[in-house]
Amino acid sequence: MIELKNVTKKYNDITALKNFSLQIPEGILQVLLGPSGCGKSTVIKLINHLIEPTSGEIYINNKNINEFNLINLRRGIGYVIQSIGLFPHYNVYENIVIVPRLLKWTKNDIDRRVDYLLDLVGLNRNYKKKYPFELSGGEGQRVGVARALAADPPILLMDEPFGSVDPLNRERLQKEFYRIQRELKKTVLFVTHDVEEAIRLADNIAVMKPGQLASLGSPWDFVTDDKEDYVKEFLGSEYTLKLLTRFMVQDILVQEKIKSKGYIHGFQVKKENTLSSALSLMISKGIDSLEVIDEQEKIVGSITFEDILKNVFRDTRK
Amino acid sequence: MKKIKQPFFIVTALLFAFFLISILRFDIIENVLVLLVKPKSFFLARVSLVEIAKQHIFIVIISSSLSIIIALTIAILTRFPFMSDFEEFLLGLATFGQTIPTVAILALLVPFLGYGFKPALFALFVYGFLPVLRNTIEGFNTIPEEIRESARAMGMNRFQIITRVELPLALPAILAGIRISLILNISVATIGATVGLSGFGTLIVNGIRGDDTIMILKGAIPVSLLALAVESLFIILEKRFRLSAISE
Ligand SMILES: Nc1ncnc2c1ncn2[C@@H]1O[C@H](COP(=O)(O)OP(=O)(O)OP(=O)(O)O)[C@@H](O)[C@H]1O
Ligand SMILES: [Mg+2]
Repeated sequence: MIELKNVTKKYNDITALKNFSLQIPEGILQVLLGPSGCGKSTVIKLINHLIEPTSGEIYINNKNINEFNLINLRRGIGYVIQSIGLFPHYNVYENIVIVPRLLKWTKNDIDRRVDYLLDLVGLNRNYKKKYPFELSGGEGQRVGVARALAADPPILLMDEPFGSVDPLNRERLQKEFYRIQRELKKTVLFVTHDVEEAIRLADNIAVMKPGQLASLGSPWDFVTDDKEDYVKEFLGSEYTLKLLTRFMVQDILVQEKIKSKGYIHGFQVKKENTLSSALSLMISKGIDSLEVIDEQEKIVGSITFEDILKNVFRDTRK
Repeated sequence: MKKIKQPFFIVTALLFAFFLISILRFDIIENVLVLLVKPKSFFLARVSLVEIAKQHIFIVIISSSLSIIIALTIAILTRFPFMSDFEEFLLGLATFGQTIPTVAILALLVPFLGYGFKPALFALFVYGFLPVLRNTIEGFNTIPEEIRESARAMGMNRFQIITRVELPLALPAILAGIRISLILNISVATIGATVGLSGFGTLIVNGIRGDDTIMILKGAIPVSLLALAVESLFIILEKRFRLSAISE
């Protein structure tokens, strides 16, 4: 568990954080969402103890971070820095294995880990010998993510880790990251200013305004109307639609309920597509139901506009 | 790391070869020179050029090693918090020091250290020391902050950051400093003849006194070739360790 208690951070005369408090329970993916300059990176740097708070305390697993050995604390935290910060004189392989080498892993373990990580972030294994200047921004960022995950740390701090990855790979990385986080139950603080990314990944979203927390809750909590104007404005009026990207068709699919009598119009959607893509298809075809198919293109069920209305926001619409 | 184009190696090898020929078989060059300038005294022409070259190179190696070791040590110390306040002072000192003419330093030292090896060694040391110090500090300063930050964030300690990140990244700048230091020392060691240091400068000074052009050239040609050869060797080294991202 990570906990910030009443943290204030001043850079000379700029107050970057003011009485900021946040709790991130173990195994939770906490997204920190907010506009540029509101203090997101400052929060991350404080947890990694790269900077000292002006006042307030920071705890990891109920232990004040001042009591940790600084070097061990950092080696146990995977950190994707905003500007990537790969070592220009190290190739991709050497960059990824920095922490495992500091921790004196065996060559065998390191090699196996690198192959696994390159596959995970979707980089060809022959990238190992490339130097950072030979990589595109998005490729460099993926190496940065692999480097942060390298020693399998229980805590991950990720500062806009997918910012310059192309949309296709970003979506793939988000899905993959969502999957491994849920599987390995890492405690993650994920910084972004992309609302859709926040929705896709978060267990909890913290919306920040300059120096302060504006609102905290699960992605569903933000559908309600009781949020302050600043939060509503920042999340945008399409927030609810964006929330549909969080769901896959299979999440609300009822298998037995295959509709008959021409109710189905013959348009199909894959069961692992998002609900927002299903809705897009309905709107573009002017219909309110779709057949759902699996990987073998076998029809496994159907989905209707009504199903979406009934199931997705069931809990939020009191 | 970059591949170096072959011509660089050829030029460097040729320069070293010419230097060796010039000290081992100056008679070949002399045979050509007598066609152009009138030979004068012959008795001094007997001095062994190899012996002179040895003395010249010896003092350059001694003084440069001293200045490189001490300058690197001081520059590395500025990376530690307790010394970081001195960094700007040292940088200013190095820049200012390099503007004082060599001859002035030599002349100033004679009253204190007398003629001969000692004042020359001291002047060489000071001249070699400043460019290495300056380039090393500046090499450290050009490393982007985010690289240092990510090194810290991953749990590298101060020593690991210096040896694994800062020194390798500053290496091209450090090598450039060493090159400047060596070239300066080769030339200052020549001027050292005016305070009684023996080396190629001795031939030049004696040649000027005796109005003997061949004698002057006997000192000037090898020392120029030596300087050029060392320069081109270091240009190769710097290229080898410079990262393409920065150079191109
Ligand atoms: N080292 C520093 N010195 C002075 N001011 C700083 C420093 N680092 C950050 N700041 C200031 O603190 C505030 C918060 O910065 P921070 O980097 O945390 O913002 P951010 O939310 O990460 O922004 P972005 O989304 O653009 O990365 C900004 O106003 C910034 O100018
Ligand atoms: Mg930031």
